[in-house]
Amino acid sequence: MLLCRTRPGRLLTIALWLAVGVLFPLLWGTGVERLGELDYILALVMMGIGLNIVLGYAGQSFLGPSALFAVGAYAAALAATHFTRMQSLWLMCLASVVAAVVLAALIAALTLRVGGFYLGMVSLFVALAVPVVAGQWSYTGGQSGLSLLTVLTFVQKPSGFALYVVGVGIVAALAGYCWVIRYSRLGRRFGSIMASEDMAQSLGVSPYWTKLWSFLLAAIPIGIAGGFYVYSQQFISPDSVSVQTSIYVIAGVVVGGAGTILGPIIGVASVGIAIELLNSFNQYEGLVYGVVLIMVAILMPTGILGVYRDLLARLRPSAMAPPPIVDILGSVGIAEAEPATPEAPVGPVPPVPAAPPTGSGDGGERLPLVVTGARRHFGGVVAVDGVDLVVERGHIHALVGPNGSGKTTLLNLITGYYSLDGGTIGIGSKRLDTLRGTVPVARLGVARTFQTPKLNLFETVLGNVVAGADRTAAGTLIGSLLHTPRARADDRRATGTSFAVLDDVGMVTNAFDMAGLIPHGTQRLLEISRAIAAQPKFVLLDEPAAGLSPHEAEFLKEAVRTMARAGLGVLIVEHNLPIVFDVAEVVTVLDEGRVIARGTPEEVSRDPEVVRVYIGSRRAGTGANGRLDESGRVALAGDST
Amino acid sequence: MTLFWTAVVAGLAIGSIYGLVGVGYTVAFNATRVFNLAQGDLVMLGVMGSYLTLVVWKLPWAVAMVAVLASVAAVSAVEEKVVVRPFLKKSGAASFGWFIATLGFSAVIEAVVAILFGHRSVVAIPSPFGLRGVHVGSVLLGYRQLLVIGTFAAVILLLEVFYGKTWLGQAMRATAEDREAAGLRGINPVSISRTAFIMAGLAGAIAGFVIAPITFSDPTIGLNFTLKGFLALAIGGFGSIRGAVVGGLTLGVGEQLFDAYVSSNYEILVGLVLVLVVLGLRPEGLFRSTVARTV
Repeated sequence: MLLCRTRPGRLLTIALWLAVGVLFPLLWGTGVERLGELDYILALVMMGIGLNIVLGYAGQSFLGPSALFAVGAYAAALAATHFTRMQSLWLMCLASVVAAVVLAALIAALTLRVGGFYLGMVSLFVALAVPVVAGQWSYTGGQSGLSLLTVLTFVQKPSGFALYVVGVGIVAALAGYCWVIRYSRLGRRFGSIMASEDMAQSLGVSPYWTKLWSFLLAAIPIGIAGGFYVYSQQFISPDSVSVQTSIYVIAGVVVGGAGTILGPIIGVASVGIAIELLNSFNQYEGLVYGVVLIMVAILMPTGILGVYRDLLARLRPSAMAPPPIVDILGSVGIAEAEPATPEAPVGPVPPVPAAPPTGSGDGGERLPLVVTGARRHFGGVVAVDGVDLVVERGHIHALVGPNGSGKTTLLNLITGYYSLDGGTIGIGSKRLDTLRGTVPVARLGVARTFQTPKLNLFETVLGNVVAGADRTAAGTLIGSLLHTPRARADDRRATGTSFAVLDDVGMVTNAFDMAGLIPHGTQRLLEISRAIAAQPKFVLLDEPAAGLSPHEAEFLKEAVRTMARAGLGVLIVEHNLPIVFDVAEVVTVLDEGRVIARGTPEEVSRDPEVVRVYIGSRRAGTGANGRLDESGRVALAGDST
Repeated sequence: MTLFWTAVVAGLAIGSIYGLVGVGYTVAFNATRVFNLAQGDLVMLGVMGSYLTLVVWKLPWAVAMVAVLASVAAVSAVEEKVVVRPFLKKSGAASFGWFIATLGFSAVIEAVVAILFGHRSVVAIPSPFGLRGVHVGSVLLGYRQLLVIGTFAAVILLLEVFYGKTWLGQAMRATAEDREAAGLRGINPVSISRTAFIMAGLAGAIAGFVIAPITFSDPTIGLNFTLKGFLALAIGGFGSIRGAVVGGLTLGVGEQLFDAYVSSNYEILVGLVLVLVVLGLRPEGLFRSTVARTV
């Protein structure tokens, strides 16, 4: 895939892989039995492709693909047994897909809210339970299972080699299906969910619905696997869908490289081939794949394909071209969009950037963000105690105060991470505090950054910013999956916005670096860029200057000013007073959850109460966060904690 | 009522085993935030070890017990070193590598035992108590069952004291919270996680040793224990010893009552239904302290 980025090259690779798949029986054997083994491996591969969507793309530890496979396969077998009209490959696959999707929706609906390893273990348990139940139930044939060989009207057509080729074709089509998902807006949402749910929520992405999507999309290939399995083997029994099947497929996906497109196919196929080859010395099978699982998890967590890519990157850095985050078969070639301005600006004054477009749809009213009497306690500790605050659009408002004064708590209250114990928060008359959680607040145009940057570290810088820019996409998620013209226009616009924002903060040369590999200070700027790209009405920055070099701090200041010029309301929580006093128009000082001063930087720095708090006169000589200069102002001692 | 109480007693005995598996998880989890998918296999090792020492080698009970406990704990310590520790150094919520690695370790244990013992089933080991017991009304309380329940109670008491009263117990919890910070306060995180896995191994070995006389066994039962122990925690709540107790006993009694009154064929569904009911009503489990969200 990476070998050839141009279209003819890409097509050639696809053709090559298809040829390998189709011609493999020449190596393996073309007898009925040998082809049957290969059909089984193909079914496992299809299952792996499905599992990879939920495990590799969305990062959900779903460990029971064989449960969906089993239910689908039984549904297909029952359909073919009872209805003559259903006795075709496609209709059996359809029956299987429907059953698998229903079960996936059930598992997801019941376990996703708690998530984490609940999902993993419950799904593994379902995979254990389904064959046990099928083995007891007479309708599913009990232990002996269902055999289509006894159904006289059932005729395999296609069969033999033709059926195998059809199977290879299905796998190829499913690879395309993955590609379509991976490079859609929904696919980027999967990436955000995998990186951090808090982050995803701050971008207006609902973890619950996104995970549910990943389940439903994963159930389709797994269902097809079930249908293909029953059709090709003409037999299903509890033994053929045991929980071991899940473990093999998980092993294959992880070994091949979860999260890639080709990796799971290669990995599961290898595991399947190994199962067939090791069949003769059965008892060592578990030992082999156990050891392999451990070694892969520890030594090459990105799988075969990940190692291959790393190797490629080391040998030929130029080959690590930008992964196409937008539809590359569409009209935007990333390489064309890449600006040719390689040298990083060194001067202290960054170029004055173009104003990013503001969020639309507020009718030019520019209503302020208003906090009235906000209260929040944790147990007996009152963290925020009756705070009033107004953030005007187009202005920069700083929130300062000693550690533990409630700044970040207030920020979390505004963005809906915490619920209020008293008071109100709203934009104009629109209440934010009565909304359910973080996602609707983000969707109303309140963007934020985190004290510790939350990024998708396995995505490029550009990809991270695009995830922010996606907030204002006009098309539907289904449209983004289908890559409709509208979705492609959305993607183009998001990419364009992202480049513009990156250009503004002087990071455009980093656009194709992996976010995990850039320096910490740059990660902060990246997070701010993502917030800007979401085209919000308000941006809340939580200690944006911590860990920035002076040079980066200049870019930060300029970015903040640019945001305000573009009409955004900026609320900046910061310890670094020089930066605050430099950019802020209004400063609010918190101490022990209360507002103790408010005014221009000049006024606030002369306020005796502020001086007392910052000098720490109650505990003379200790805990001083600042010092007085000769004129009695709070001097600008940065406290970077 | 005889049927009912007989089922309850049997359920408490089985539930104690689920609880012991759950306790094993909890001890390891509290120190490492790793969910050891091989925990059930440690129980299986305990059962197989009892068979080997008592039936094949005919060792005295006390010697056999020490040998089984020590060797299972050693396996658990090896697991910690080889499979778990590499993941403790890395941070990052997205990494579920330990999930895969402990799953692999579970497969290795199972395969090694299968190679050593063959795939034959091990019949329940003769208990020193035989089938004797005390009658309470018409219900027979087998000594073997009482031994399991009593052992479970003793383990729970020891652990409550350990976490509540000892420095090491609190250091373990601190390490789980923040490995680095604990290190700065003079706690050696490596020895903490090793100790936790040895304790978890002991819990598994004890479970295997006491259950050996009342169960059939073969190398593949590990996964069943792994999952039932998890279900016990899902019902009771993660991270607390009390959660493991309540969850394990609820699951065990629920299963036995279902067997007695409905059908033993679909016993496996009991755990699933219980978990889903609990998840629906109280997603954090019956006993779980809510954790403040930090952003």
